[in-house]
Amino acid sequence: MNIVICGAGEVGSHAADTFATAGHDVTLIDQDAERLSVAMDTMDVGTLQGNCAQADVLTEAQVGAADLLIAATNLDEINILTVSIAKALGVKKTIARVHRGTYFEGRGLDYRKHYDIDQLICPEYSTATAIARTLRNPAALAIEHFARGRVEMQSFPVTKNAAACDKPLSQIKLPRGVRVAAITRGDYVFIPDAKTVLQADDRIILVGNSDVFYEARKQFHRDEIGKRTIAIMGGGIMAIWLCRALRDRNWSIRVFETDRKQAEEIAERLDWVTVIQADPTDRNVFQEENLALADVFVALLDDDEANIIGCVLAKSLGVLEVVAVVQKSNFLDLLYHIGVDRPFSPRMVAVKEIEGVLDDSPLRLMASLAEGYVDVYRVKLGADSPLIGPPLRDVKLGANWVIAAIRRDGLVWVPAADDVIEPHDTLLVIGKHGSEKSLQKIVQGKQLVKN
Amino acid sequence: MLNLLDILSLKSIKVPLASTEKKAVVYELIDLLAEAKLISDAEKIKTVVWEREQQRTTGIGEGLAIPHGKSPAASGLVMAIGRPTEPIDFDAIDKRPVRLVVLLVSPPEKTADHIQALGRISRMMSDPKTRLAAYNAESAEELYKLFEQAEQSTGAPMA
Repeated sequence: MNIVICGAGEVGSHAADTFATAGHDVTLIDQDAERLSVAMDTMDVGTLQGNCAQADVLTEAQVGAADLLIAATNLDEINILTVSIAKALGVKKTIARVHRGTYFEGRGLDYRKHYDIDQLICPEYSTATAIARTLRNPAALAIEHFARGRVEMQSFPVTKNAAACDKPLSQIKLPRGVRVAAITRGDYVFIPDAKTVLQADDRIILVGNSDVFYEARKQFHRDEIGKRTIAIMGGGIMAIWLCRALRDRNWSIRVFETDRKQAEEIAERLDWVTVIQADPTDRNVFQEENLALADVFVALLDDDEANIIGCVLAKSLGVLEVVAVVQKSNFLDLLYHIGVDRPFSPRMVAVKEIEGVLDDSPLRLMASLAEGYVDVYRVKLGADSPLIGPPLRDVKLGANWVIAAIRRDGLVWVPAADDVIEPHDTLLVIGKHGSEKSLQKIVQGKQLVKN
Repeated sequence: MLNLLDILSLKSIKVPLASTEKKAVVYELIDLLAEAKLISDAEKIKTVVWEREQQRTTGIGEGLAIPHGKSPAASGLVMAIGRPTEPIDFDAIDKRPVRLVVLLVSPPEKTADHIQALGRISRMMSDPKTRLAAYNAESAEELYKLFEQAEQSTGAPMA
């Protein structure tokens, strides 16, 4: 594939290295000759010095013949302008990196649609939500990149006193857009139907639209665990997104921000969060706030060193789990050795996301759940797939697979029996490990496809 | 603030290493520390470092490995560095072979120094130019100079 990357900063360089190593032809554009010479010395990429927001520069980089353009300079506006020009010059696919929430969330205007951008990527947002998912439930991670928070998926045991226990599924009143995708009973995994009777200690995978998920979950599991507590160091944009992702999920949240103005601003924007103007790694503050009893400590400052030291300190003083964001490290795994349970690198999260956009294979394994017995696949449908047309209640998917979610035009939802699959929909399908061949047949008709 | 040059000397750098296999390389570096009289009981340290290595590989990616361990047999934080003749298999997390091995041994109570040293090495090796130069160093002197240069350009964040 021919890939043009604009901006040789953290995300741009890491993406260039990743794609060049994978064997793609990469051209890196930047205004800074020094950065380009480092890139040329250390990776197998072509370089071009110039302003990527100019059509003549992009033409020189042969954007018209490129499969993908990634705009990752440090200015949001330049990135949006660049992908828009590149589209006009004939590039097949575009990705723009943006920092500001107003562009990413499309406040006031859907910038993605307006400028015909295939994908907007915000590393800070992706990192914050990735952290939130790891704190919530392992099954939730599997759906993260597919659903961007619109659909929730969790794996948990059915409790004895729950409303749904000892009843066939057909008698359980679930809101539209929620379904039990798989059941693990002892060593046996199966996809339930309407007649299936849930038993106590069955482990279910429940999938549902985010707005109704938690209401439905109560029917299967009575929470005995109290609120978990989280301390967040740093009140920047990542903290705001993390707090939003944890809202209404049984978390007691404290954000520590030393800058008075910033602390006041987030206190105003996040009224369900306790904002404290102090440094949590200050021993007195740590003791006063009883942070040793916190379940999780998350370090989100711009300073990598402060994040690492903060985490190591919190861990040594008794916090169960510590999470650090590091911008500059190439060696995330080193941090495990130091004592950081979960290190996150925004640029690596961003590049992973770009790789996902690039992957056009019809079947892609997204995750394995229930100790490897359950697989989650992303399925891109061909125009002649037999799944297209009839309402879902009439679609024969076999006993081993269930459609957990549909993605169409940027929307993601859990389908109901009367939903109809359309050409070019992307599906999230859950099923028994070891039956991928049957899935390929169902999705593509008789014809087998290579992955 | 810890300076890597305080815990590094020419005597504890070996280019190239004689060994060609993971365990042997780690042991060779520990013997190097013992020869330089920086540790008292090489065998004890071999045991702790190798135990640690088996819990989780210290091949942290991009060709770098940082085996380490804590033992009272070290009186202070010490470091040894070796470049293998050919890249060696280290079960690294990114499956790439390892081109530079940095060993750290510290007494149990010196946790802060140990973490700081790992952080500084990580910061230094995150720079692609320095990393490449270290992997291609022809002599112990050349590697020492690289560490000297890196320690002079302070101010950048760790890791």
